[in-house]
Amino acid sequence: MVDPISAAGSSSTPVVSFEGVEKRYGKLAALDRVDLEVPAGAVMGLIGPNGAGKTTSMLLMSSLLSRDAGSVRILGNDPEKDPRSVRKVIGYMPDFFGFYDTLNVSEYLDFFAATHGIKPHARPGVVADLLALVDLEGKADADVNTLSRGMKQRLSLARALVHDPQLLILDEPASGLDPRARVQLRELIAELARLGKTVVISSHILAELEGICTHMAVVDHGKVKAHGTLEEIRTTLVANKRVTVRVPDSQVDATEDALSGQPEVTEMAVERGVVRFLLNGDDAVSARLLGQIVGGGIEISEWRVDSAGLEELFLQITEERRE
Amino acid sequence: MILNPVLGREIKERFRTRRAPWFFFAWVLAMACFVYLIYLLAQFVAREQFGLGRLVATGFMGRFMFELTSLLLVTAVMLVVPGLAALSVVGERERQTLSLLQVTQLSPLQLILGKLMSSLSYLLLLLVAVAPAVALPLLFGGITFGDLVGALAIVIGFAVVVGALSVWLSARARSSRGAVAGAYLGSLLLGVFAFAIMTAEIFLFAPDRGGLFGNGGRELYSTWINPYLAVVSAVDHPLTIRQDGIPRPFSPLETIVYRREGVRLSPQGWVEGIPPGGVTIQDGQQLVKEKRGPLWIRTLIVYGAISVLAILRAARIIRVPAKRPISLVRSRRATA
Repeated sequence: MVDPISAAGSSSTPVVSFEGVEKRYGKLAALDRVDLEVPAGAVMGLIGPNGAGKTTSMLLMSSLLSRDAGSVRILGNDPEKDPRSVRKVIGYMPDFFGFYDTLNVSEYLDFFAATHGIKPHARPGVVADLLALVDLEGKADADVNTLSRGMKQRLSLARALVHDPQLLILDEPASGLDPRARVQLRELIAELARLGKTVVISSHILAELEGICTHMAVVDHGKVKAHGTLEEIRTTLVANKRVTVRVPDSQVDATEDALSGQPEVTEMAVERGVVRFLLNGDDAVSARLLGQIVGGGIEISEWRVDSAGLEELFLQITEERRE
Repeated sequence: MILNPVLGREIKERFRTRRAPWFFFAWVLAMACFVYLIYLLAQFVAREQFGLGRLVATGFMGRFMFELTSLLLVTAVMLVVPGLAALSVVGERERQTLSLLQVTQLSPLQLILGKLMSSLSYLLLLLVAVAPAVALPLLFGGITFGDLVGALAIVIGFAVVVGALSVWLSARARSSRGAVAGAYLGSLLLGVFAFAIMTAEIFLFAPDRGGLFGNGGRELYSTWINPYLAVVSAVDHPLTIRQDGIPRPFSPLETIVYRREGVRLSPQGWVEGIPPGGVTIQDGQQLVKEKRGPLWIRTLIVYGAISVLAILRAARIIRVPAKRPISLVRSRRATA
């Protein structure tokens, strides 16, 4: 098991803090001693397969679910003991829409503004601003049923923002969206991050998160397998890098001999003029190996080190436990 | 006063559905037809009893129409309110909006009260729409404005308790079908099955206690929950209403109400009020007036208590954080 690493750059009080959080549904441990911190201004991606505990974590943050053990703090408040304070500072967008058929777009937002205690005279301005933010100004009077899925998703996001929360909790927001709608949503989340919102976002679509998130937590079987900035996870947790070495055909055997004795080198494969292997080490190890081979008189035409992508990291981290 | 947001939204929703105007039209038409039939029936009974003396009979007709209309309104509440309130919470759950409301600044109690008020305000509108028909007996005489207010107070009290029970059952229910069935069961329990409970109570407790009514009799507790008896109790005064043998809609109910309150019919068919301290009747037996308040007051107190309990329980059910996530019942809409 990989120990969680702390998030970088979290000098101030974290917006979300989980300490040893446990949640069980009967015999199933939905969350098992989870430690997690989301620093202010971060866009934290919660990644994990189905049933990993992502939604349970979000329900705990949203004050909808009680925990069995541990501590949860949202901007210093306990969602169980002081849910109303927490609800003032969070905007929750679940993985479903939840619309009223008979209300149009602006009435829908107006209603949720009212439920958050925004005064009647202030609500039209709030609704107009939100519609502009999510690019639905032209749909203010439209029936929600006539909106596309992407528009509905943006309307849901506007609903979550109606009381100007500091923390946004978005459960699978990109689910079911077409590529164009995903790009729009990604831009919108980036804009919210620029506005200073802290965002916690879950998804299966890893490539989507890679472009948005500043931090990531990989959740699997109720445990946080990795937690930190993307670079921290890459460098600290997953040292294996795929290295491709291109040499003259006549020097392939010599290259293989030079590398085979190195403890950091595994899974070596040799083709005509190309040697591929996994390097278990950082850039310094890579440089040392390169120096040794060049020093042995081998003429290298290419030395390429590929870091693992988010998808690969995710598979590596979640596979590790299954093994 | 700031309008409960849930109430405001529900009012919009109720009147925007396609069937809303049709339902409203059907309601007014049905009530008008019923009141007209009641008028014809009252006219027939009056003619049978008073012959050509129709002027003398108008007071009786007014009373007859008022009594039957009051009972009709109670029946209407029993049938309409569960339909209005039963889907209130389970409907939010099925369209997946309940959790969205739970993370707002609305308290569970505000949410439940909004739901209840929206159902009752709709009923109030239905009552206002048929008010001219309901008030028609005033033109004939035989009743006072106070009688009308008393009957409406019981009707509204009954609507509140049925609404509160329906909202509570809606909060408990896993499906809309279960919520509707439960709400109608609760409503019928108070309105109809209460008579069966009364019968059972009489047979179980009365024989060995010196008779159920009057001297030495025990209280018939099951009468406390029945709205029909409460209406009779609220608009009749046992010492002023003559029992002259002419059948009226209240007649069968009056027997229970009067006797429960320690009043009995004289052999001549007149109501005998029993003064404090009792009276001596023919066989020398002392008939003592029970120290019992009017039935309708007890009914309203019981309804009030049930309503408060139901509202608080419903609020507790939807309170979060919960131990388990809200189980989202599959609805046609959700699975579509």
